[in-house]
Amino acid sequence: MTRTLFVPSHLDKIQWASRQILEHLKKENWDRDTLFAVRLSVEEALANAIQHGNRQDPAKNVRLQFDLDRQKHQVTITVEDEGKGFKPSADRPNNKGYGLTLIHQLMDEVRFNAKGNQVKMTKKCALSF
Amino acid sequence: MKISQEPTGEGVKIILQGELTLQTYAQLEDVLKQAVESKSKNVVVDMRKVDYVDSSGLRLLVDYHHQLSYLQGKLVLSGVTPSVRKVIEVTHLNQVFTIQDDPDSVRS
Repeated sequence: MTRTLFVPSHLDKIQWASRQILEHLKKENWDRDTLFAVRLSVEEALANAIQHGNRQDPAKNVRLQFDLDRQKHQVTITVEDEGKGFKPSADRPNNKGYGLTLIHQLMDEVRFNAKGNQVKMTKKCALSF
Repeated sequence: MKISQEPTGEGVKIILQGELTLQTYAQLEDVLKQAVESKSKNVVVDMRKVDYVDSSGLRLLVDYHHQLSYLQGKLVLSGVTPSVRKVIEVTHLNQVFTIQDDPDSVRS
């Protein structure tokens, strides 16, 4: 299952957008820790995209894509802004880059595109019945 | 987020309820700023009813941890829930913050 949302560059849209994803995952009986990790990573990535990528420009959107692979029990989330991009390792502020650190620690796989305006994050789940 | 305060011996206990995020951290920032301006030495943040903290919340707590340390004071996080503890640990901020399990055992 794949869903794509276009999120306006307003910080108050972040939790609305993450809820759209979480609602799908809750129906899949994913465990609480996984849901927490996905929510926090999505919200951190959206905050970066809106603040640093699109610079809160109301004319720009953030593309949020959600790919649920039920056979592999994993979800891949892509967050792409319309900004100039950045180099994740070089641009990470010393000891203040908590958002990126959280994403790397909480998700199983994190990849940036060459331009640096897109992050693709994968999380494998544990089922809770 | 709901915030209440209780005076303590040399400071204040700030009791949070809700989520500490990009959308709410400014509320706590106002209270912490007020505590520093009123020369509170020891600030205890009671987090028993906080189950979600993002990087904005962490950054605020780190900033005030440093401010209070500079002023010979202390910021203590108390009653940290498991999900918030995980966020603190994966960012290695457990090596920075003073974390107290039982809010009622914190003396100021």
